[in-house]
Amino acid sequence: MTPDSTAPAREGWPERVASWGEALAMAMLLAMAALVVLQVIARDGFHLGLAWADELARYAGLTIVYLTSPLLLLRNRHVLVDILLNILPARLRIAVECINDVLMVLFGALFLWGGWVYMQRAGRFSTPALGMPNLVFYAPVMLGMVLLFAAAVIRAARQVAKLRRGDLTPPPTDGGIKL
Amino acid sequence: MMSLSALVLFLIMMIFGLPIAFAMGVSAAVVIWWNDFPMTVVAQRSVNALDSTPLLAVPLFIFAASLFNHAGITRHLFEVIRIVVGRIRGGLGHVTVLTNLVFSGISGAALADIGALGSTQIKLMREQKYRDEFSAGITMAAATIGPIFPPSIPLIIFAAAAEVSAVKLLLAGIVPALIIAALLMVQIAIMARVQKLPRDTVAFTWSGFGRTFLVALPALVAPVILIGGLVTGLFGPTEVAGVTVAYAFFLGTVVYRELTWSGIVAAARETVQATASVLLIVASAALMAWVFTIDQIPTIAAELLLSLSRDPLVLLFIVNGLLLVVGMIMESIAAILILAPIITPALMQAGVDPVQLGVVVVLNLMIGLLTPPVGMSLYMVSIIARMPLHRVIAGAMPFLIPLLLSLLVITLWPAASTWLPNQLVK
Repeated sequence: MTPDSTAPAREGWPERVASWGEALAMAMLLAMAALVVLQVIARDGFHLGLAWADELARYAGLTIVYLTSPLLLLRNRHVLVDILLNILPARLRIAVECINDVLMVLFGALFLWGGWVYMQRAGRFSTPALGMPNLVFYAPVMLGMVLLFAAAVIRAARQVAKLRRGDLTPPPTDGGIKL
Repeated sequence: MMSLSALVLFLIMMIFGLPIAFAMGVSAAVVIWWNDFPMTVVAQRSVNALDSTPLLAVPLFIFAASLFNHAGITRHLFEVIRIVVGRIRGGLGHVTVLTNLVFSGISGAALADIGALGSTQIKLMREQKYRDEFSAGITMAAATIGPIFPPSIPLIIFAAAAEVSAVKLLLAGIVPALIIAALLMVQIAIMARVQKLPRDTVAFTWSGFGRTFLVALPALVAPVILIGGLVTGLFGPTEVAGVTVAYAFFLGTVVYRELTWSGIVAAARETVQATASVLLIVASAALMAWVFTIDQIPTIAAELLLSLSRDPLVLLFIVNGLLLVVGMIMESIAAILILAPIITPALMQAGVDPVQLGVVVVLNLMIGLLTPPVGMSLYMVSIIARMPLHRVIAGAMPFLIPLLLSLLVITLWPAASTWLPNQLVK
């Protein structure tokens, strides 16, 4: 993975807001690594099982995925197959990308609907090890999906604005994340 | 019918460039909604799939590999191997294979290996007048070792999807990775003679070798610590990933002192981006898998496969054919998550060891990284080598021979995958 692949192509206020999510996710990654190593030391060195550390590490994992995804969407960095997009005429490409953005809005809406109903039930309980309310445990997921939904709406609005301006350049991308 | 609708919707959306995670998620969610299932399934299944300790190994292994790269440790590995085998005809090809083999003991993904090593390897081969097609081809082919040798992100994901021991699966990759490396080196030796490839310009002296070896030694022992920890039961797969991160920090800040704060930040940023990208696919695939389960697709697929044959070898060849085609058109993590729960029950009923099946599935899909139209290694090398795609594809072709031969060996000889884990894990 090259360092350049993470460099932003164009920054507006939505990207700056989403960058806060990414910064939090980076802090959670460091915490997760520390918690996993702590579990090894506690178990192999002191015969202690740290269920709370495992739970916090999983919480960090969920935070990383859902709080980084909105920025990836705004920067067009999710894994995608763009062979067909690249051979489409410019105007048709933008129209297809616009439909794709609407589909992402639909996914966000369906997820948030399901998540809202789920939280009515699950939100009354707590996590087994830490006793953390489920509302807190799942908060990064719901916040991330709200931001993802907003990011998809913003992308769609930008595509429409581009079409109105007659700007037919494809969105900046490096072809997705290099794993 | 529900599954077929979801699958067709997914494929159409994927082909039209919707990010894979969303294509899978929206097609499954729409089908769930349309068929009046509770919408809670959408959020619950996706989140439950990610709320998993084994999957924490994914970000941690990506982070470890990225830290090794930012600490300049990969460069030390490359230099010591270059001194040892560089002087052989076509030596930089051999250096590429061996460096990938060692680096794969730290990293767990083919594209991460190309990112970490590819530009250095291709630049050096270019300077020494290797044909660009050869450089691109061997860079991609050698990177397939990464997801086979432990640690391996695709194998960890297969283990989670097929409910197989992750430790056994990781250890199962060692012998197949060595087979792939050996066959690639045979192919390089043949091509070196036919194409009269140059020898490396680096001179071998015992003192130079000793100095470089000592510098690289702490990095060279990383895979040993990792595999040793798994075998002795000191760490599980997720813990070993955490320990590798800690070791990378130790090497980068204390031993080599090349890991700066900005390097750590860049590595963390790359990691969260790659993790979100991959694990969002995992979350959506869990939703798709739920739709398949409701339609009893794993049972139907098992009956269908077993009606074709009950011979494990015949079934493995059918699966190989299917996966080679799937690998050409589908992203590998998505393919594992969709297909592993479907094919594993049938092949296990026929007597195939799921550990061997995991290695066969992952190798098939990694070969798919070198084949158009959805060969992600092709696009990545095309970008880093600034080569047109058709020349990169031409470069990949000769190296498909050793990779397919490796697949044949691993298919025909189950012990290649199962012997070592059975010896080491009781």
